[in-house]
Amino acid sequence: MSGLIEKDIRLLLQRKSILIMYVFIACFMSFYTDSTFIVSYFCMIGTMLAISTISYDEFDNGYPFLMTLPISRATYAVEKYALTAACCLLCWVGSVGLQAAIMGLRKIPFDLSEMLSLYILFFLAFLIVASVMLPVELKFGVEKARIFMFVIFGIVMILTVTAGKLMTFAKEKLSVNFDGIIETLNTLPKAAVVLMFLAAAAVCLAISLTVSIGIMKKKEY
Amino acid sequence: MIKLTNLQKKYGDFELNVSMEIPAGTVVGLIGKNGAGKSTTIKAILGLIYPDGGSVEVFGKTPFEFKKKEKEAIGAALSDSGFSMMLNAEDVVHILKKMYSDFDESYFRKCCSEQGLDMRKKIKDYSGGMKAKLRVITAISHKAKLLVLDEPTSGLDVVARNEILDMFRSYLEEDNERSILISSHISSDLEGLCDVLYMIHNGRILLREDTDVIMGRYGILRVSEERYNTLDKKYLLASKKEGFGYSCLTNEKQFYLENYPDVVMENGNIDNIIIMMLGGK
Repeated sequence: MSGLIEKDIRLLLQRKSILIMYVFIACFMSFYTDSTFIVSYFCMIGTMLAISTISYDEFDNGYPFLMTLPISRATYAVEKYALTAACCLLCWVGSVGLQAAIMGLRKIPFDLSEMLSLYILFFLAFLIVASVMLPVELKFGVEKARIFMFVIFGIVMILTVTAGKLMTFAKEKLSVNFDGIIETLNTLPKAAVVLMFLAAAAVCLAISLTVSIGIMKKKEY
Repeated sequence: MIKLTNLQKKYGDFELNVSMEIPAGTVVGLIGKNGAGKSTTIKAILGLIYPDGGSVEVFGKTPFEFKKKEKEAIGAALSDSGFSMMLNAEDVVHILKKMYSDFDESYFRKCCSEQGLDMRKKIKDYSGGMKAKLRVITAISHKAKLLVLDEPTSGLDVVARNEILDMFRSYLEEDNERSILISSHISSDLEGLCDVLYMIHNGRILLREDTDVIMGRYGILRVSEERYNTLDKKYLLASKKEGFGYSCLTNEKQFYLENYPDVVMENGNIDNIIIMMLGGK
């Protein structure tokens, strides 16, 4: 797997000028936006960049040759997850540090534990997004996956709106007390919320990785 | 080293069904027209596709049972696939170093230097010949026991082709047990390199013959229609109607030279055989 990681890092470094530009944009924006922007922005960039290495492998019909190298199909899938998690984590660590520095410069007071628990949720949320995107990219290829992702996000939007309408209906007609439920959730300790998210991310990643390995094993080149 | 037993694969109307064997220390050529089934056979050997029937064994295992050790023992060069074009040869060195336990970095660099490959130039900026050379150098630089090469010289000029073939000869000289399976539709490339040739057409093996036998015993008879009618046809593999009479492929040219001294006989070569086997009756 180390050979694959070496390949992907070298491919990512091909875009170092774009990466530097992203960092400058983020630093600039962080002076004018709220404190959560820079962390979510960097986590998104890290996740997307790692996933984009699939397009390099796919481009110019690279897969057949890659599969003749001394790696298994499962290793290929595992490496993409490891790379995505590592890139996301690296961006998270860098952006949290940068955010703390900027808040210090702007003399904005902050609660470290509250800030960290929120930022950890961002990190885990992007891992969940990656666990949806990776199998789709591996199954359909970059071009088709883009369309597929639009469909998925469309469905999520429809479900969210529908759920909202159902909740309003239930609240008005059936007198269901959603405010109480939300209040209970708000009173949960931060550590419990982080642990719940961590468990959800772990489950999503485990299911996603199993699906991705299955996709890679079934593929013909 | 490789054993295919009734390997079957279907793509729409196309149906592959081949059997072949490649012992250690031999160079086997797979020849045939475009779409004959050469690449499909090679993909099955490399485990890139799943057979619909029959079996593929390489080093006594199916490609899907390969561990790192077996995969490291195979060097593959495919005509239309390789490392990302955004990388350069220097990147490839670092990747291969981590991929293969027996990767010979100094040999790789020496080959690149001899072939005039700029280590810092992106692969996308290489010429077609340079890309092909890099693919071949990649395949031969980790002490593989078996090379599987799909059209490695396709689309190259004669000089680049000869340089690549020389690389294969040097690779073979280092170890008698090394084997090569090479597919090509450029017959002259195979004549000077291969010990055995398999001709494939419409997914079937039409001919399996030692290259020496083809060059020494095969011939093309050019005869008039009258002479054709009186000819003993037991050693004729294929005949083709021509303007002057008939062209006939034989695998016993000495027999016809001795018994029919008046016939015109041309020495056999792969191109002749392909034309006769695929165009004759």
